[in-house]
Amino acid sequence: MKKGISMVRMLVVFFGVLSAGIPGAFAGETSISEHHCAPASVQNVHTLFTRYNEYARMPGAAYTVDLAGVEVELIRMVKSQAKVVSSTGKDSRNNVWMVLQPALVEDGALYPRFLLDCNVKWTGTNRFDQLCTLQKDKQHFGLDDLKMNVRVIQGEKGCGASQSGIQIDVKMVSNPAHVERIKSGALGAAGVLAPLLSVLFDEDSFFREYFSFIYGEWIKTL
Amino acid sequence: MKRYFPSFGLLIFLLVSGCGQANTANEHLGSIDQTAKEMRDELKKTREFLDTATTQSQRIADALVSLQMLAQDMVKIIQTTFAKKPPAATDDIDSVLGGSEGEGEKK
Repeated sequence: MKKGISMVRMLVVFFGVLSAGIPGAFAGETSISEHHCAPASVQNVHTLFTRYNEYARMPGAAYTVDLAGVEVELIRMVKSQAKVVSSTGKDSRNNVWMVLQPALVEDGALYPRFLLDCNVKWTGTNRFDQLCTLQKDKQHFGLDDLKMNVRVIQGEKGCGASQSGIQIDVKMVSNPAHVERIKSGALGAAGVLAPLLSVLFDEDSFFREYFSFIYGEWIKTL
Repeated sequence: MKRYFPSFGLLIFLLVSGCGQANTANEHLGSIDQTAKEMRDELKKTREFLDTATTQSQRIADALVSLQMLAQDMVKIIQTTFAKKPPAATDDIDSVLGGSEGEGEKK
């Protein structure tokens, strides 16, 4: 997704922030709840959503914004690796390791990262649920909790008979101290753009918008 | 003598009539002078306005050039600052699954 920000708006934000100081907009729980009708079979949606090893190479891995005509990458998934825990028929359970690289952050220790426990369960011939939860007892940074719940039903009421209804519910709890460290790492390298970057690097850009964006980009490929 | 009387009368008439015409022409010329003076004043004011407008336009043009240069500088700064860099080395899933690091920090 490209977010268009005109030069004028950018300058207004830039100087507005310079005069107003840098707001600290991190903390707490945020969530996404959205529904899509995708022109695809439930099987195709399943194939796409369970390509865990491919997440970092799929469309949507990089979240960009348009700054004065320059496409700027704010955050990118740089690693997605999966290990199968169990597989029964079409149901599956995987450990999925994700690493995100925020723009300008060079220290890998400051990259948001988490291990997810992803369960896929078919609840009928034309429907399945995918629930991914952050494994709190394993290495994680940036987020303290994450639950990604996807329900896919082909021929769902409200969507076409050949379409699949995709309900996405994501809940996440960011770690304010971690996010501040990520932000400091990015702002330190931003120079005169630090105030502007501070606005762009709020919690929404980091996580909520990113997850909403990545699902949206995947669905576009269906 | 009597024979010349009508011609003398005509001469008087012509002289009076000529004086009248000259007076009218003089008044007309005076009016033209006044109009010309007003036009000169108007032209002077217009010239002054144009001079001011030209100066202001030049200032606006200079300001636009400065803004354009500022915008170009900003674009260069953005391009340089956000130049894509390869990601730093991070743990793979095998090492993550082997550890238990609940606080988020890599041990």
